[in-house]
Amino acid sequence: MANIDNLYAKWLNGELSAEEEEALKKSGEWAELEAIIKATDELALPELDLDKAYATQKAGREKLQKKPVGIRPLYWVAAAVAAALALFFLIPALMQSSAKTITAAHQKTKVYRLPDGSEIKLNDGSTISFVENEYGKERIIELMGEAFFDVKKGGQFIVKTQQGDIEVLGTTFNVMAWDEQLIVDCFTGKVQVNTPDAQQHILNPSEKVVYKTGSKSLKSSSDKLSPRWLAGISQFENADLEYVFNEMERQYNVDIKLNATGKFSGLFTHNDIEVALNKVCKPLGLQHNYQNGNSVITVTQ
Amino acid sequence: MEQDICKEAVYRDLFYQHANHLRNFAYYKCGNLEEAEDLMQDAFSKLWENCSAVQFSKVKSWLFTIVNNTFLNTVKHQKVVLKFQEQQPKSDSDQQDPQYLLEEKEFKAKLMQAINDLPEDLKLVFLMNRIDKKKYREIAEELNLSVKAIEKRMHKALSILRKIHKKV
Repeated sequence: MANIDNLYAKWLNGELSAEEEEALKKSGEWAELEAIIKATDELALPELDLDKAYATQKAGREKLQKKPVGIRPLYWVAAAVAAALALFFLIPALMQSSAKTITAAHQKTKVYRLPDGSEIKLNDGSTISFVENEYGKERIIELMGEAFFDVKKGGQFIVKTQQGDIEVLGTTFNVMAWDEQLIVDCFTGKVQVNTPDAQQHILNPSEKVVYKTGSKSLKSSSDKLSPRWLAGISQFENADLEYVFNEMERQYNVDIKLNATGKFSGLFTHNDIEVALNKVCKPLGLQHNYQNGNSVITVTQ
Repeated sequence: MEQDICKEAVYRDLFYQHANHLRNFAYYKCGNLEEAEDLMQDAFSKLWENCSAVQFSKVKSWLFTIVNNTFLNTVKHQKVVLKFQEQQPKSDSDQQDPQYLLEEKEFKAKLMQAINDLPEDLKLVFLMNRIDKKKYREIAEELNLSVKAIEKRMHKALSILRKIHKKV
């Protein structure tokens, strides 16, 4: 009964009704789960000495803020030279730690060209970041969300996501890395995907890999020639309804309350929400209450 | 009214409220207490530099994002092995029989190993709930995820950890 863990997750958050709790305690798994929780209850990290830590923080800040006051005119040139020198050494040091971050706003996609000419198209609400002055040495991009990559030939190019890393040389591919899921589609060249289940997948053109948190990653063939979202379409194959409507919420910046479960295969477009809702709801016999522009939509069975 | 983070008193309160949790969060990521404290201090320095740009209501998730980004950018990725202090359980353990104690010790070692082996996203959520005693809503807010996603991760972490019983 896989549901027990779910009940337990709820129980840990104090969300169960009395009857549900009763059922949980009667289940065969209760003893096992309780042992895990009891053992982790005894674990702790050393408490941080807040006063000491704050003193360190304050000292660091004051060092930064201290400015020389009342420079006499005679020393003006010397001061200027010193300042120029300081800038010369400080700026690279400051830049080293600062990452450049690019986010595509809601209902917008964004094209970003990297220093080596590689191109990234960001789907809406997605973010990439990279360390600009390190990029010449190693091409590493962090991604949250979905993006299409057109990578210029060169050394290794790595995309890091919460759900795994993707390594390539020069190719085009699409990465979708929201909440729980990682989907990588390869269009040209070769792509290597390292997923948290310690699997390494080499993708050739028209292949994709799908990984869901906690389960095994799977490689399969893909018939797409380019990502659908570049053409303003979201496409699904036997996807959970929750996942489909999450995507719709993101594309149209609305709030969708879902009171139904099921799977959906098909697509919706990004230019008309009513058409999009009908595309998903009609074939599954679902009802929605969308009428000219309400931003909270309820979908029911 | 929005509070002004550039005011020392407001900033200090934020530090006292979040420093410990932020340091723990950094520890789950890098597995080294000193590094974790540096990551936390660094995030707060950045908050001070950006005090007028950061919205007060978003401070918490802002701090967690900064720690995460700095970690990804600077720390060399390696297999992280987390260690925790064991607090004394409340019952008097000297009355229990040695066989039981031995089994319990073995079980704890196995559990610790299994926690270390969890996929990183699951491990993070599991520890934030179990060590920092945070509610899912709080974790969701800090990691910029939905509450549903947190619940799912807890559920998955538990079902993976439960398997260690079968191996004992």
